[in-house]
Amino acid sequence: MALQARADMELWDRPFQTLLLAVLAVNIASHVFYVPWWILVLSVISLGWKLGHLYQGWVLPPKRWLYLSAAVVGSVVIWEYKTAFGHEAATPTLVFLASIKLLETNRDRDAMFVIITSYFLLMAHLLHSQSLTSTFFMAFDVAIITILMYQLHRADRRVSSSSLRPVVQLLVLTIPIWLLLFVVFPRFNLTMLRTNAPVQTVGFSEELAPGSVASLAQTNETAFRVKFLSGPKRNPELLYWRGATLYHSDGLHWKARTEEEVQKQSSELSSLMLGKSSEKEVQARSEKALTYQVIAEPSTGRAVFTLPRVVKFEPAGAMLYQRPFVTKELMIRLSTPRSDHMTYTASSVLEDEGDLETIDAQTYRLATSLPKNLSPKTINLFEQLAKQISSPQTAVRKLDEWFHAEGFRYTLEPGESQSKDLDDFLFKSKKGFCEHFASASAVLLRGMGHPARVVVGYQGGRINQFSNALVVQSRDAHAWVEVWYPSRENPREGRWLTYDPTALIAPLRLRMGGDYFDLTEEQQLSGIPDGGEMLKLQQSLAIRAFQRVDQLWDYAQMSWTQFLLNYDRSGQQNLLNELLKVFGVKPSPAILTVLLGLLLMIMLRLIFIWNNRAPRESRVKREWLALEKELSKKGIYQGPKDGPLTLRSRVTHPVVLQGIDAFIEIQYGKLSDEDRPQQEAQIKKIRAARVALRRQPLPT
Amino acid sequence: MSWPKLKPSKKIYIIPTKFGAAFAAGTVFMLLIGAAYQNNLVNLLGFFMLAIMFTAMFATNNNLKGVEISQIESVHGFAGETLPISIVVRNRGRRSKSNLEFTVRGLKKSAQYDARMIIQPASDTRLLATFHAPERGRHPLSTFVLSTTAPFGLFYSWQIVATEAVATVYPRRIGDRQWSTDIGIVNGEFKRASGAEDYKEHRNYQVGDNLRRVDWQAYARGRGLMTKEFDEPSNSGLHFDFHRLGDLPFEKRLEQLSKWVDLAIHKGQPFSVSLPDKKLGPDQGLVFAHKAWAELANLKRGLD
Repeated sequence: MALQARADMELWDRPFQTLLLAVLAVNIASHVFYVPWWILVLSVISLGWKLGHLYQGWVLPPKRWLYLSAAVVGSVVIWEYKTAFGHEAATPTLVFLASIKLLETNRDRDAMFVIITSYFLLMAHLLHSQSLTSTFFMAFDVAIITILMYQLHRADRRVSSSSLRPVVQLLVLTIPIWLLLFVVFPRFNLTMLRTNAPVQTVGFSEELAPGSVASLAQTNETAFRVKFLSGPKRNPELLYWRGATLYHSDGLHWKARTEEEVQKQSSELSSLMLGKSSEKEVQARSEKALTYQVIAEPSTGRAVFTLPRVVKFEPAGAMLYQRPFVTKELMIRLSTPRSDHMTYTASSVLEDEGDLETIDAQTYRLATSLPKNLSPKTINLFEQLAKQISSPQTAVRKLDEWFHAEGFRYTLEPGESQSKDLDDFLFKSKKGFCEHFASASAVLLRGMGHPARVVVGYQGGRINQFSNALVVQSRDAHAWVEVWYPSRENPREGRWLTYDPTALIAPLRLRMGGDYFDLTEEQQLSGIPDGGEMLKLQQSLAIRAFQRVDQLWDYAQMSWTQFLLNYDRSGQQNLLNELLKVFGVKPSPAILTVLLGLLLMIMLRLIFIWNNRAPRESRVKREWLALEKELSKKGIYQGPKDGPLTLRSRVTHPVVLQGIDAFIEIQYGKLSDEDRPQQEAQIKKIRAARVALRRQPLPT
Repeated sequence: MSWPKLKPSKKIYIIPTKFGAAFAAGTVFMLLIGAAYQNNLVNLLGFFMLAIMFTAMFATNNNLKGVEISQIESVHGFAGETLPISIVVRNRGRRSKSNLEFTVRGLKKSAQYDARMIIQPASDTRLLATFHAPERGRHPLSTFVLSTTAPFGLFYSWQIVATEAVATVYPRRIGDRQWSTDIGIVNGEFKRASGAEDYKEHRNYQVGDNLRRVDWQAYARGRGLMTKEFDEPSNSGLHFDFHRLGDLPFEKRLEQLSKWVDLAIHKGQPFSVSLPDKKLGPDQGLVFAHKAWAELANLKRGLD
């Protein structure tokens, strides 16, 4: 075999480089939704170039080009994200650098760079998603990265089932240590190290424009899941999940108050329970409240979705560090925007009772101010509608009647006739989505002299039959109106109550939630109240089976995410307390880590010692050694200098002689390893010799 | 022939490699990010990396367990060139071992050959490496280091073997003197050493002796390996004389002689060498050449 110097071996062969490229491509692909498109295009070009180089002999670009492109891309990313810090800005740069690194890679140290980069790309992916799918992806990815790391240091870099056996064994050994570390390693809070760059991905919009809710409603992404913990049972269609309240309007476009204004008039979470109520009233209210736990999927922004009239709110996990507060509208909001999961428990009183709210002068002014560019036609309309109307109840009823009489239609696809301004919607197209109806209703109500605001959030959702949790998706996005109902005694005191014009125009939309969009236009237009049932009947068994699988998957997703989000410092302590309850000890994770770490190290050491023990003596050798021992007892065998021939000359017993001859035959004769039956017969003879010797009395 | 003695150490040492240190730093960074973002999946990934480091540490250590250097040869080479050293490694363990390398304390390594060879259980394998040869002389190779970074390259594990092996480094093969003018050749041309020399005596065989001069008949009669010595014929071939290069510095003279020996070998000519304290040859062949080079390697300054 020709000798090969290590320096030459460091230049990799094509299959190994292809494996390297594949691992990197998988990790870059996992960022397809999180990095700008142009980064992905550049990365695909780099990977393609490398592939062309491997299989078509394309010339690689000079190194100075690579350095220049890295500098340019890095600068553009910093300019686009306005920072060089934080994972949002670092991920695109890392994706690009990893892809161009392949274009100059051909040494072991470069491969190691790619391996470590792959781990970081995986980490960046996990920062975006903690779903079950991402967990499976992580398990697959760490396995292939580890195999790559092993192949890099392997004598023969060819991949086969036998070559992979050692690395698979090592991975299996790693799993218990991995899980144990995860369970017992102490958790720290280092949220002060966190950097939040402006997030680029699309999330829940806190502005309303024609089409903004409609675009959300056309996707099936899960927004959040809700587990109802206690309180009265409610039909999902009655649940309005408030996300943001909008005051500023120019017709069909609505905006929230500025963040500074919102935060200025905020209060602590603890204020929710107190209000002006006595302790007894608080207690009574809590008992009536619907308590629910929300597990929200990654999204962007500060909105926290709760039902109206929240009386209690408890953030958990990472949300604790985003400092949620209570707004003037009794909504919960985050001090710092989020981009990942969040989980919290809240209680809401759905009944129209309890403390009255107050409306300050500024809010009153905001909630009654009309858009500046209203046409005389619109002004005329609300003046007409306002005639002989004094209370908000009658105003709302009048508005419903008018929508009905004018033949307004609800549609998700208004097409080219989509109204861009209020006049067009009110007097021409008369077709629109919930945002059109909510915007128009709020303007008309204000025109009629009643404070009104638009609320964006979610309505509806589906109950998962496995988890019994409510699954709210983007398609359940909704916009509605809240109208001020003043008390008779004091007009500055009263309640903001929900008015949903869509309930009249498209009752099925409310009843079916986002599933409404699965109906044909005919079914939507028919407005039959059992539309939901009809839809169910139309569904084939296959679709129902698929839905069951889908719900089961959703259940698994929710359980896993909930576990991950709740397994923080206190979750860890609770689990350890629970596990070690039988021993009556309250372990500290730090001490437990040290103890279990030591135990693991001893276990590993023993496993490797066992694995590495000297090869077992062959059966022939063992039988012979046993015979030698027996001969030694009889004083025939006197030490290593006595070979089988010497021993043979000292014995006369025919069976013992046969045994010694059998050993000579196996050891020095022509008996090959393949002659198994003969070998077995000879081994039996050696054993028989030992037995015969044992039965002989010891010499005196 | 006896091999140099070995004193293997049972201790196995281990430290992270540069890659291992980077990997460990990456792991710490990942756990910090997990804590900063309160992200348990990132924690899970960080713990995986930590766990793989644990396993790798034991696996790397294990890759040296049951492995020993069973044979080291004394070596020779020329100053300024590479010094090939080979060792025999025995795997006494039950599992195959791979990626074993060795170094020699005091010598700078230039290349390791077949470092990724897999050594099957209960078998021997020869490993070869080349080193930058030090200056002329006799250098004890007192410490061999057998090492590995398998299976992941995260840790470097090694064991030390003390030996009595020696590297004999011959003088460099350089010099610009032409032998036709600078060394005395009787009658202007080379005379082959023929079998006409007079037999002088027998002596015990020594490593490096010309095998043609071994008395095989005596060996067949059971007298052991004996070398026949002859009276040296005068002017029987090339004669390289240390004293005739008196105008050159000491080391340069040795280097010139080393080169001439090399040339003589390449041309297949017999030669003799005169040194301040002894005279070698005339003889021919590689064994004799190595004997001459070894004498040049060991020649002490001051004897001129």
